Amino acid sequence: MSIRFDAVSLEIAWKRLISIVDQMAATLKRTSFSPLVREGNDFSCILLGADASSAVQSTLSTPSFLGTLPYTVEQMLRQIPRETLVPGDVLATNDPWIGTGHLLDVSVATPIFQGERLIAFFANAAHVPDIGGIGFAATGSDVQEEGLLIPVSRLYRRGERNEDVANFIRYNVRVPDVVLGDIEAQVAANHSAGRLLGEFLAESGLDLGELIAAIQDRSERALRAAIQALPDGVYPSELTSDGYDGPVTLRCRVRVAGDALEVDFAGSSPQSPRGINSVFGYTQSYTTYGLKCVLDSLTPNNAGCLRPIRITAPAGSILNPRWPAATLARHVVGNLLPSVVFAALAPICPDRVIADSGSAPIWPVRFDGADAEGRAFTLTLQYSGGQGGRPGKPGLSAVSFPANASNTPVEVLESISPLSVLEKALIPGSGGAGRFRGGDGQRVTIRSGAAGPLKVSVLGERVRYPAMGSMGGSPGRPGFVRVDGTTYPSKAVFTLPPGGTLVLETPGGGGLGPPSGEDGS
Amino acid sequence: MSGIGVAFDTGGTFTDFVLQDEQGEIRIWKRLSTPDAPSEAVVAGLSEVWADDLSGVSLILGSTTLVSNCVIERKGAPAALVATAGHADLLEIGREIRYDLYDLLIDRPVPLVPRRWVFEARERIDAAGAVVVPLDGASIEAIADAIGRSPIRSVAVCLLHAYREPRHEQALARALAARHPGLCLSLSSEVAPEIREYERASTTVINAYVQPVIQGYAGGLREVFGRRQFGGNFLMMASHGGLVDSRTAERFPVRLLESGPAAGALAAAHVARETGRRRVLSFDMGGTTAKLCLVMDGRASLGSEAEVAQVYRFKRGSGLPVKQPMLEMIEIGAGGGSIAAINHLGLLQVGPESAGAAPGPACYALGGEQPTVTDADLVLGYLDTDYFLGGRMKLDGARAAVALMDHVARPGDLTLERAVWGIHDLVNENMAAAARVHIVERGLDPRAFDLVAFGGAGPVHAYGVATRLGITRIVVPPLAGVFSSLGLLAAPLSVDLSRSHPMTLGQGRWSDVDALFAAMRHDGLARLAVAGAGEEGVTAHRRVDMRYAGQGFEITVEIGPDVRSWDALGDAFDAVYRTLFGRTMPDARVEAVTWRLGLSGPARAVGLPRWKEAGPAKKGDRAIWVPDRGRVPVPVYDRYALRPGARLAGPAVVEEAESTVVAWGPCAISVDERLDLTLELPVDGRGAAAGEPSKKNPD
Repeated sequence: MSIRFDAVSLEIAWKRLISIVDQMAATLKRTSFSPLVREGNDFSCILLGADASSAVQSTLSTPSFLGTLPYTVEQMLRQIPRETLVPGDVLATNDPWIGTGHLLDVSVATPIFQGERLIAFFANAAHVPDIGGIGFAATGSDVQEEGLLIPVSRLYRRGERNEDVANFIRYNVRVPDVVLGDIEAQVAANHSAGRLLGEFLAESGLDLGELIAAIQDRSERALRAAIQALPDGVYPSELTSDGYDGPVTLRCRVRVAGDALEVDFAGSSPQSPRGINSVFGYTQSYTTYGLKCVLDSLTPNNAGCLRPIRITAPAGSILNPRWPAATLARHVVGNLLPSVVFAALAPICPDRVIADSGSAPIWPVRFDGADAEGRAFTLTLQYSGGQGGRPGKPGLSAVSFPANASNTPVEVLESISPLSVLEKALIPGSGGAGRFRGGDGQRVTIRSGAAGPLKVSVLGERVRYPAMGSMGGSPGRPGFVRVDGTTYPSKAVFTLPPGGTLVLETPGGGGLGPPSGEDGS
Repeated sequence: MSGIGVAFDTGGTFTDFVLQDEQGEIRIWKRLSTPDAPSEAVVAGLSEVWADDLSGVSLILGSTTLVSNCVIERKGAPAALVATAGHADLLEIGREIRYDLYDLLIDRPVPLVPRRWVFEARERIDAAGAVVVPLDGASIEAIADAIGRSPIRSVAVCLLHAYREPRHEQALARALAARHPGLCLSLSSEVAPEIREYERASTTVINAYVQPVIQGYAGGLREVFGRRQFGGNFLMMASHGGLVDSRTAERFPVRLLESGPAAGALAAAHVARETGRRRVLSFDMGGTTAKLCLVMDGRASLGSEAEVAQVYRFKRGSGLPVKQPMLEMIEIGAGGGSIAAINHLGLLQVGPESAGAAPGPACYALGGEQPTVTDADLVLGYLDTDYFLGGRMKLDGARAAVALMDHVARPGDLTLERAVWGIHDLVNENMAAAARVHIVERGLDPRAFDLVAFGGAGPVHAYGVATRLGITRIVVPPLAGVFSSLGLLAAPLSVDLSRSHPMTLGQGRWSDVDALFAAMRHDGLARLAVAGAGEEGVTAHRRVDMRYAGQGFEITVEIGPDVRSWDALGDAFDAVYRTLFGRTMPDARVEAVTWRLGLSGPARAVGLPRWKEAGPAKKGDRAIWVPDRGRVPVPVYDRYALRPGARLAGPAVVEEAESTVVAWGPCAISVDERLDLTLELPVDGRGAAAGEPSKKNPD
């Protein structure tokens, strides 16, 4: 199929598709109401072919959604057959097993038609500020307790909003105007991208299916060549983290055979009775993300990059939990997967992998309560620790890896909530020692100026089990959670009294290679 | 303009001069820049283009790349930052996001102030502007002591919520100035009074870092001008496209960040006004970058943020953020020196890496071995081996062909012809794509624009860029080489003011809005008076940054004189929001956040160059690459011999010393009274672009 494209024409058309999804992302960010989207960049945009395989994605995105969106659309089409879709339809869901792994992200997909023919989907996923239930905490014991589940639904039918679906959402979330406003922004982003795609196809006369096939084939070849260059064999690794009631162990075996690669998570901890389970789509997403960073960081990501890779995790494990497991805090396990993959690959490509990161996972903190004037507010902030030491250079300090979210500026969060940030500073020396040091974590001290108590949920990690060193490097400093002098575990729900102070210390990254003096050379 | 005016533009390689005498006649001059002491070239050039005695000159206008170069090359002064206690790491932490998702080895931009020179002031102001912790005198003394023990010459002060309540910054500045007279002080509440501490601190630090350098430069020039009997006004071009008094420029040098490019866009705006074009895309393509800017109704479009000194060339997010009113420049790593290569996927890449002036393109034969856009243009026949820079430099076509074969054609499995056309077409698409995103984001249609092309490579690539955007009219003004300096002469004196003062529409009195604008007008007129403009002929443009309550980003709404009520303001917001996003939200409240007033004096008339006497217009024929047809002999014309009223037909080539107009497809070319060349392309011209697989391959 790709015979009609050469080194020039494919490059030009490919770049054009990327610019369309980047514009889509800009529209979503600018029209969104939620600070997590507009300040935190907690969303992703993607173009998929008619077969729901991914073609291009927005440049600045969070890795998790990029991996889950194609799977989401595929699963949506199982419930709402493709043949029944018409122009103006928009599909939405937040089902963790179909969507991004927890209820707090809504995935929205819009079929794109050329005349009568369905030629593509634009899809995006974004973190909404509330979905009812227990907010954003790991305490849930099943998905029903965690909040509102929007089954795969036609949110729009022939361009008309399905008010039944909108009402279910409106009456089940705490800040309905913001949540529905954000979902509308997601719909509009898909719509505007559809218009741009239509113009591009009309002007170029290209067949989108052929173009996507050419993109995927080229990418697949690049990935296979990168895998082929690795020595065949089986490479195991293991990582232990705090978990909820007790430690969680992730075991992985990477098998390289010719130009294909398999990752199997057999032997990992069983699913947890609490909300830290990573549904398989999410597991797959962060595993492939880690692999792509090492194997081919240059090729713009698409389904072709995934074809040579197969991932398996036993059903009923924490990396492939069964319905109706609780999953709200699935990132505390899923964010660890790149570190596990890097550890497995370290012996065969030591110059391309980094040590375990204290920034994995990201630390969300959610506040619920009333401000000084008694108005209800909900705010989620996200803070990062230090990255693992890197080949040739230290890990970055306080950086969002592997998630890729911005912090909310202190001045913005103080303007929209009764919180004040007394301190936001790096913790010198918190990165693990090594030939290349781990990046430092940060200390964030937040005081409540609310008139009444605030409910606070922290979803951290690495308080008991710090980020590991790699190839002789030392582990990073563990994290800490303190409220008015009392120390809490990494996942905690508590009440912050008026004037009370919360101190978060995010973990440092692991060091890479033996510290100077221990290096045999 | 009465009296003699001189404009100079300090670029990386050349300093250009344009002088307009009392009769309105234009004189141009160029000399090599003196990067180690930029004012030397200015002073010497002024003597050459006019005289040592400047008493007859009434106006000197300057633009410079000094500020951006100073940041990029890290040649600023030792500078410090004072931050609120507990937040001294704000430059190191930034926004925590990574600008490349998959690259594990990215570097963050290194702050201009080393961490050991970030000092903490014990104080706190809350989001409402109330003092929570008074400014602590002991911490000020400690900071002053530390500065005294260091080589620090300039201090940025950025305290939390100072955009709302500047009193702690002001008190700190007074105290430091008392202890260290002569210390440069930049306050975030004056430099960039906008919410978001990292971006505001970054902007303030840039200001502090370059301030001593600009003071030396502008102050030094003022002193020399004074000694040479200059009694007029000395003004500098600011990034927002207005001229500012040189003393203001010294206080807020960060406003000069895009001084040079702004002058180019203003020159295009001048052309737009003179020729009555309502929508113009200014297209300036040089050796390493291309800069595009929208000009609507004669005014170049304004933005409020940018990035400087990117760690990865042209990678968004990898630079130091700047919050300032500045012309909205779309900057792309595409120029004559951009290097072409085949990447790991077997696909063609052009730029952003550049061969620069040294070693330069392979055809310069100065040691460059990588093929560049200029090499491809040469092999396509678009450039003349014997008439590059008016014949001052001979190009080596054989070297170009070898480099192109070795690095592009063979590894990319392409014929040489397909490779060179591919390079030309891809670099055009890269520029067109950036422009397209920018235009469509504003709810506009690229096809409604006219392209004004300049810079050394602009006229060579204008036809292809226009074709890719569906643009059917191209204007190539004369004197491409000093076009930016012409923009300085044509620029009106102007100021842009803003006040962050959030109000919900329909709540409060409209008379408060009137009062706000009246106060800004008062300030603005005073500032214009300093720069030598009277109140007569001053035009005002009101703009308001607005959003739905709860959104985090504002859109800028231009409001005409007829908007005199909350309802009218709301209607204006709805109209712009609908244009941008295709819908409005009927039930949501609307907020006005920042109120902006632009005041401009009258634009000056600029004369025309005296064209030298000319021989025959047609120089001969040359075979150039025409897509779908192959190599075709086309007429080559001497631009200097073309007189107003001349009419030509494309495909054709028109050569002048510093650039070449290449029309590789059909078009009607005419010369107007201003000596502009206008190319009218057929309306269905788009898609003629080869490179699409559906078209015949040129091989």
